[in-house]
Amino acid sequence: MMTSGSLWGMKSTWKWGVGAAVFLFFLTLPAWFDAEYYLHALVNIFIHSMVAIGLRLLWRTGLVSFGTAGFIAIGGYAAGLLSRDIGISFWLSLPVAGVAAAVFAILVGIPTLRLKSSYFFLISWATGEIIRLSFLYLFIPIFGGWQGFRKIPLPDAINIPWLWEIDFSRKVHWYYLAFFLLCIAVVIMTRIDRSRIGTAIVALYDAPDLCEAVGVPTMYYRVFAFAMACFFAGVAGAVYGSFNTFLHPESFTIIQSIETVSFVIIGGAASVWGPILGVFVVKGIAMAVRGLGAYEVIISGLMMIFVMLVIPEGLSGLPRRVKRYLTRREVAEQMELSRGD
Amino acid sequence: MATDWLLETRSLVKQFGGVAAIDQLDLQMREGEILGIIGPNGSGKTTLFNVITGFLKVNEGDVFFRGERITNRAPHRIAKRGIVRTFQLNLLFRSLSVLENVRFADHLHRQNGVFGAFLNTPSVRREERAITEHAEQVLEATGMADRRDQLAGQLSYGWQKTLTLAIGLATRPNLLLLDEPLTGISPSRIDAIGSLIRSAREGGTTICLIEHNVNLLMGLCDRIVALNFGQKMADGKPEDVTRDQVVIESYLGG
Repeated sequence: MMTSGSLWGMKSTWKWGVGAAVFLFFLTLPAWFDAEYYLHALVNIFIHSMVAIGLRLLWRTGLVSFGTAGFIAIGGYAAGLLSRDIGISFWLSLPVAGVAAAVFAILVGIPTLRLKSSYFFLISWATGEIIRLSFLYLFIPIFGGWQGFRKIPLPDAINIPWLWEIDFSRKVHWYYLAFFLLCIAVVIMTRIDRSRIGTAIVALYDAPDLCEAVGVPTMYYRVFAFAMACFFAGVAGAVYGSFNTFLHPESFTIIQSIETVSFVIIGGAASVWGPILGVFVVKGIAMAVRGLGAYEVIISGLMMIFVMLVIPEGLSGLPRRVKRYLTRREVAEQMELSRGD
Repeated sequence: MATDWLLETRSLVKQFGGVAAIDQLDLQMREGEILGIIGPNGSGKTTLFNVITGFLKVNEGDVFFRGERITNRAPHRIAKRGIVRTFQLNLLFRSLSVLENVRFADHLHRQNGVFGAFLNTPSVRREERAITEHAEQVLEATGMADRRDQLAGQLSYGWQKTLTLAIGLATRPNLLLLDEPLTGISPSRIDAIGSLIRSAREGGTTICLIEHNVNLLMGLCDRIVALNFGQKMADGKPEDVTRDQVVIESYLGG
């Protein structure tokens, strides 16, 4: 019989190996595959992944927000205003955009996160719409209203002496920016998962009353998870705005929020990799069926239903499910054999 | 108003849609005692726990802990004062392991903040080790050491019940409110749980437990309070309460 110790060791080495291979693959990708179209798509995938792994944290507390697009918009408009109208560097407006979205999330979250999850779902939806409509109809001279928010400047160039000058004139520069930010987001989220904050979030989902009974302030962790999710949405929005040099409120409708939720559901929330896988699958399928217009949404909707019914833990839970099936069969076979004795 | 009681309720009223589950209840708990609460179904035992620990809001009256008013505070704030309760239905962190359940319950003794936990500073690592050690002691004491890596949700009913007690003990409370800690425990382990409760008292924890089966309380409690319709029916030494005519008629089915 194998001891659980060696099994764990094997498992984590295997995971590290796959992780390193995936990292190296994406790190070197532009060197041997410099197709603008696909790099552009990957930038969008990385930006969405950042949003998705943020939302996963909230999902794990047992809540879901259908207003994420609004918080992406806050980040985008905040960073746009700071860099276009006030002249603050993109590199400073990037974290400020995240903080702006997080602060707004805390203000919305404190009164509403104590509600039942179904009410929070409705309120988050309404919040997202209010944000979108505010950018559409308020302060039109600044936000641009229906014209959209135009002429967002590019980030300041980064000069790595003798190596590379990154001035964001080419897609590959954006690719590395988005990839780098996603890596930071993954590291932050993994740290949270492994610290007692991660345990608290699992505990909160299992038994909020017991958390309170042993002195854990449940509201604090709910607000924390919501603020973190919106922080990443805000940062993603800042990159998105500068990448496109343009923002329009109609890019931040409920459809976008639902799509973000679909990343988490389809990919699975057990690990940070789940939602990223979800983005690749949903966006990959969307690219494959491009030109079908509204059918994109229908396809990802159908996929969401399929995954929820067949693999509730998401696609990233599939290997474990297969393994469990195989061990069960093995055990059954052994039982069959021992019966023969 | 200074009092000598550890916990005291004064004219406590809790109504559900006009029906009083707790009706003008004055109850006192002495520091260091083991108090049993008995009563028929619906007599307000669990409601009393819910009201004391802030899970339900009081309609009238007050709860005092060490002379200080704690009425209607948030549950986690009441827990911070060292008043910890368990739940009748085996409420556990089902997707965490037994060890993680007990470790997590030690929340109140953490000094480091969330940011430190995120950075995993040396002082956090030290604290985590100390918490693991303490959790292992609790598991050893409750006889759950060899189940430490099992998921709480996969334990048998009796062991889940034991784990709820272990979670309560892991918080190192001043006052531990146990809601039917002996229900579903196998008869061979009842004595072990009893001595566990006794040794917690030796460690400085005051215990109040709800129990349906009066016989189990006889050797364990210093005092028993019998409730009926949210009012005190009897209050005294176990042998006196079980001999009380009113208690026998309404509860013991005599």
